[in-house]
Amino acid sequence: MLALKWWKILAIVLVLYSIIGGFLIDVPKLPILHETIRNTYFHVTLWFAMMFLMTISMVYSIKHLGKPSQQNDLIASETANIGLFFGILGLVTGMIWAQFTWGAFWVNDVKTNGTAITLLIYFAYTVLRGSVEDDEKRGRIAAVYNIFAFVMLVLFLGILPRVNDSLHPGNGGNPAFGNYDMDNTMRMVFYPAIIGYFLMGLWFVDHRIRLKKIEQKLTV
Amino acid sequence: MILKDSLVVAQHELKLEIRNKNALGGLILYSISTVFVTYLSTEGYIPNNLFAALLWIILLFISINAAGKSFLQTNNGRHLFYFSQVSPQAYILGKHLFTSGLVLVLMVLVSGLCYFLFSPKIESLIFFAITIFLGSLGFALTIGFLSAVAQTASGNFTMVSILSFPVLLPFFLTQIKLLNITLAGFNIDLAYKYIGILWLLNLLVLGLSYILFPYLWRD
Repeated sequence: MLALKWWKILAIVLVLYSIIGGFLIDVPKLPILHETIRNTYFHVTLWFAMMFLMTISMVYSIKHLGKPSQQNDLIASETANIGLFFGILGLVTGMIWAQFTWGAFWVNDVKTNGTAITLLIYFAYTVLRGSVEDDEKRGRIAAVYNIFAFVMLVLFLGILPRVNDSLHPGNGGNPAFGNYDMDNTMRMVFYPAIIGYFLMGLWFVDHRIRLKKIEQKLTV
Repeated sequence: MILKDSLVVAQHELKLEIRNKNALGGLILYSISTVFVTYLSTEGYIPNNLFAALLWIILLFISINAAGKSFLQTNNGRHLFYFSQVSPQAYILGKHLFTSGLVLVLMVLVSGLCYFLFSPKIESLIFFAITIFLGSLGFALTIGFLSAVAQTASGNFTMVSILSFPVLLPFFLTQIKLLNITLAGFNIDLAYKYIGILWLLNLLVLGLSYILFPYLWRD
């Protein structure tokens, strides 16, 4: 049964386009960065997709507190899980990039540390979910922590890099890619890639939720 | 009404804490021995930036111990009693009032002790005091609220640290920066900027716990 919805096809097309286009289309030749600038298509886009997913997770947590339902809780938890997965991928691609531009896999950079903290917060979220047996209670507590942690995370990621210097583009006097380095051909791959990975993430979430529902049906 | 109720809750908590002298004495002893162990292991000679980091790590662990048990200690019977008497908002505010007072007292004690033992060169004592005050407020509010989360979830102490360490980091880093400024190269504009951020964080945590606590309360 091929019940492919249009957005799933779009996800495949865009991600394929970003991979093929990302490796083949010409990029600006810049000192230090050289060809590693292609990592923008993966590292940055995965991060954008993660932040979108985490935001959805937070919105559904608020919805769950307002009107508790199993569906809201499932969406909140699974978007957080997939967001965590994307976060790990973003971290790994970023570490590889750091090795070839800054000279080390891990540098003491505000945004790099911010990533590590994001991952810690969402791992704590999964631990918290794992520690409660009762379904109704688990959803409620997890939603409360999710909202609280997300607000603190946004503050951490948003404010602190502006207060401290960062090696990342766009902070502490470093030019942002958007302003100087990224030309129009790069944008043509970059923006579709963000949408593609985001839709791909939603697809994963969709699958996970269906899997969870089947599991529940089998255990009852 | 809410403010009055929260004062009553705080008073009640204070009474219970004073009545149970063992716990309070234990906390104070824990703080003093932590500082002394740090002093002995560093032999008292540490550079300024290391002093700031060490002080905040000590304060972090002490406030986790002090504020973390604020909800974990409360047994179900007492919970039910409060539940029947006050609104959840008043309850969390009262708890916050009490824990921040407790943490503030411990922090003043610890940082005073550190000041005498390590004798760092502090350029601006007033800003040092403000840093300690805002820091204790932030730690107490965040850990207090998350201990309520941990209490409803599983009631074990490890959960408090797991939940609060990553969330505390914005506070932690800003406080270390601010303390470093007060220790060397004092710059009033930069200090005000960090103080502003700390106030913002504190108000945000207070607001969030005020809004979110009623949902934890329903049991």
